[in-house]
Amino acid sequence: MHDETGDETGGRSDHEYPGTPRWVKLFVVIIIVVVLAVVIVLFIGGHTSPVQHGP
Amino acid sequence: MRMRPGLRKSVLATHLTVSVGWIGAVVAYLALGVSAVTSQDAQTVRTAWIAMDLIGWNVIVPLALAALATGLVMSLGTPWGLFRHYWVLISLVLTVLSTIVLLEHMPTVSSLANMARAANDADLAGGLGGDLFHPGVGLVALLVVTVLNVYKPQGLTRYGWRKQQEERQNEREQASGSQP
Repeated sequence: MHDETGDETGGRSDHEYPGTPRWVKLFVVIIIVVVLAVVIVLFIGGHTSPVQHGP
Repeated sequence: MRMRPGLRKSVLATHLTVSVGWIGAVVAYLALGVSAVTSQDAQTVRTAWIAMDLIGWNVIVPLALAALATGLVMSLGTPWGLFRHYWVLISLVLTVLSTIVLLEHMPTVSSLANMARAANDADLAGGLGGDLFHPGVGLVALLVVTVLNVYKPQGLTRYGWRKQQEERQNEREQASGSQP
């Protein structure tokens, strides 16, 4: 019988999820920073919606 | 379900066309938005808002919906899948969010265009304000999606990895079952 706990390459890595790629983590961090920055700017500066400038 | 190569190319060509068209239309919308903000000429401001309303409903919204629909078909009809790869998943999330924000924002644009139609020149000369934030953020999101679609960075989601393991297991079983 073939041992399902290992593979032909001899490593266990093929049977374990390799994890979230680094670029995805970096992307998520950038998105969080950008969203926070926008929220802070809107909170401090006040949201200048064009509707408020209506005649 | 896997698409045949001919159908796949047709859907891909449609997806590329509407997606790039969406970006181009947003750039045109931004140009009008800048004119609406910076111009002191009432006629220019009025025309810009009316054009933004027309471009928004008649060009950007249809292209956004078409890009989303063809993207879904491409994902589900090819081995890429919808939730298997991070670049596909992120592209899907950004496209869905952009479309939702667009549909939520367009009624405001229409009401401002109606204001611009009804307002006299003196009111418009003072400025109706602009609409740069939404199209600006939307353009950045679309460019991110474009980069992801071109480079297709590696990385399986946990679901994609599990499906890949199942497929490999099935292939092994089929290979061992076919041996005499």
